[in-house]
Amino acid sequence: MRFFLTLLTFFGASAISQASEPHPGEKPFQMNCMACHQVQTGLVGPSLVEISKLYPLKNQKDFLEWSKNPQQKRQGAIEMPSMAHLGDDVLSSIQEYMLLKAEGKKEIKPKPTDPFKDSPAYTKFPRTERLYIEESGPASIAILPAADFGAVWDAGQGRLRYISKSRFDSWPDWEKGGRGQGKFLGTIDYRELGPHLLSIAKDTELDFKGYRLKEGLPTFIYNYGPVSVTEAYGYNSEAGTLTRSFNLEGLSDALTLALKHEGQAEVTLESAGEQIPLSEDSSAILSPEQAAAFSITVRP
Amino acid sequence: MFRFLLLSFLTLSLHAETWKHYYKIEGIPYPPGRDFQVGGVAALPDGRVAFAFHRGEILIFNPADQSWSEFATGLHEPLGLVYEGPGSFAVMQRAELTRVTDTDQDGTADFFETLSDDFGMTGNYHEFSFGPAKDKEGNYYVALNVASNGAGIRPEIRGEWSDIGISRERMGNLANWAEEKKDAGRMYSRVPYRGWVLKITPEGKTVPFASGFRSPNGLGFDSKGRLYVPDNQGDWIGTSPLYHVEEGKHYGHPASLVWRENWDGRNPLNMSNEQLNALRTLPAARFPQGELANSPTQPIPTISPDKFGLPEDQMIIGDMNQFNLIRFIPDEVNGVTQGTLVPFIEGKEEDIANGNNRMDFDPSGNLWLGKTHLNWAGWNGAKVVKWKGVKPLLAEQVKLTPTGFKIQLSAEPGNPGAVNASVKRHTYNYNRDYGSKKIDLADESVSVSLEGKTITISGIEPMRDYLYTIWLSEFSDKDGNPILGRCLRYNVSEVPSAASE
Repeated sequence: MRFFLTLLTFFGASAISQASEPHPGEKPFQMNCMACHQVQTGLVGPSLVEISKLYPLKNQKDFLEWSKNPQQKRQGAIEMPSMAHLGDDVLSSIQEYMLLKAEGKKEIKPKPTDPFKDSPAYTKFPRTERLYIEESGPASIAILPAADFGAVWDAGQGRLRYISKSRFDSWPDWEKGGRGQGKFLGTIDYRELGPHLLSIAKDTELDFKGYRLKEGLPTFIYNYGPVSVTEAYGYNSEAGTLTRSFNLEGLSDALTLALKHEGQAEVTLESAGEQIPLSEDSSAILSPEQAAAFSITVRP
Repeated sequence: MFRFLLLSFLTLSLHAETWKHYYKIEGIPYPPGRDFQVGGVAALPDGRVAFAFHRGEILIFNPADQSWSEFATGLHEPLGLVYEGPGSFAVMQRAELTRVTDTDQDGTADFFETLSDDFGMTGNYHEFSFGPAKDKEGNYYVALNVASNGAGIRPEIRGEWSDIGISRERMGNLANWAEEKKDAGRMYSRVPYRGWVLKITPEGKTVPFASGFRSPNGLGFDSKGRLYVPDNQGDWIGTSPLYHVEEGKHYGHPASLVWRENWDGRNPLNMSNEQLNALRTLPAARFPQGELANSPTQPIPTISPDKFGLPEDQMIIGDMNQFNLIRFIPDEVNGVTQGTLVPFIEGKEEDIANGNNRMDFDPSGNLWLGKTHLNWAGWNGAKVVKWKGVKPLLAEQVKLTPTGFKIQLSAEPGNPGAVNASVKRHTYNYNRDYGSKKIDLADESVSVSLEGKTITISGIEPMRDYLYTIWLSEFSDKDGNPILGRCLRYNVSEVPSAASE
């Protein structure tokens, strides 16, 4: 009980002394420094927390030297004007005041936001965009037919990875030159489990040839050995469906499609205007004639 | 007396910004609503200039009406752009070299043709892909950055995996990355051909061309068909070099060695400095860190002196950190290309600024600069350097002799009595430390003589693997034009024999 009382007294006294006698550095700080230096957040200049690390009291000489003869240290920063006119005594009290204000506090780094977030250049649909994307290979392509619908195609594996009925955010990759990854802000609604869609991919190396764009959506072109494939993307906004139209040339045997997936979705396979039923494990076998032109429509 | 004073005042005031006597720099308007960080610049024959942007666009600027038009979108961190012909560009993306074409001639690209994706990716942010540069036979050359242990790898990779030194499982163990990264190496090459220059033939074949690179940000051929690639100071690179790259050679950063044909499985991180030193080819030039460049960028060849004032058959190189452009003067000793780096534009933040990542000359001889930073030092936007039409007084050739240097000036000095030079030399360590201090720094005691346009510096016994810094005094030509670039840094990788003199 006595202990508590002592503590209380101590705090009380401290509060009173602060109220009655402002720190001699406070006023000059407000007049000369505050416009550029905040307590916990870097503004025009570094925060007081950062300054307190650079110039603890034992470095007072360096602090005085810097304040009187500042230079541009940081890329793109504005050079601090000299504070030589304040004199060593005032500058010393400013330093002491800044240390007091920063004591026990941590730097708050504001989360940067995309300065071009609403720019029409980066929000148009449909569009196709290459970047690092979550839960896919490093050579991935975002297929973005609409603001709230998109898919990811993996150019390293030559296949669709997943579909999401949500907005795609490229900023995490763009922000720091590839340290982050683009991602859908909502859930992944449909994911093909692979490892291949087309059975010809099983033992043959993918030879990715690129893509053509039509109204912003891609037609991928690739080969597996003697078989050449085109895979064209279409989106029906009313039905909420994504359709892949395949053309295969050079196929001599039947083709097995592995459409095993995660997520509730309606998957339809068609060739020559006829629907081809999928087996229980979502696979289907197409004759070379059927495989020459078929389409897969997914409604997640 | 008065005249003498006036002259020296003039010389003094010009000294700081001599380049302004010969060149001017203009900004260009930013395209609205775009992240104007430039990974590629390509001037078109009709005077327009194409820029590849950090967020994947290729936009074309028309200087005639200052307008922008969008040619392509959706590229992954393009870091090099070459104009191929009407409606067609070759562009290097993270994942591939691509030909981007407007096949239906509506002004925007509709075909993104993969020319080569025959290399690996771990998804590490530092695995940038640079280039391309095109040789006279139509081959493209690209360069692949190594990854940085500032991060691990992503769960999915492309290409073969190298287990040498550390397993894939450990490389993906981000929860314990602080420990695992120690065995990864500061910069690593776990998939093919990170740290290599690749050649891509017109038939689409990808050939591993040369190894030993760290951050080879930009490739360029000179008019004699020599390929130059700069690198960045860091582990195994004492200060940023410029390499003359030849097939089959290794340039010093060890991580890429694991992808050599028939590599014996040794972990390059466990090899001795001597073993590694024996494998490498020395650079053609070196940029002292912080003085000339910190992260040099794309080298491009100079054009006719009647269009831009600089001698032909030389290179211009930018830097990410410094407010400058640099000129490379090649020399050849015993068949080895080496030479001199000399400041070309020594500017300021408000004129040239930094981040000068990519460049190209337009048909009128204007030099277009594209800037970027990607969260490192640098800038954004683009500028254009225009020659004012006065031929600069400069060092046109610098030749190493068995006893020193012969410097050929572009014109006779008007004040020959003012011509003088001092020389210092130093070298750098070759080891795993991040950069090197200047080692064995010493003043050379030299005698300097001038005959016509030739300055002869003698009294030196040139040493292999040393950088010689020659400071010329201030002087001007007979019309009073000041010397452009007074600090000549000659890199000796090959020493001439007395007999070759």
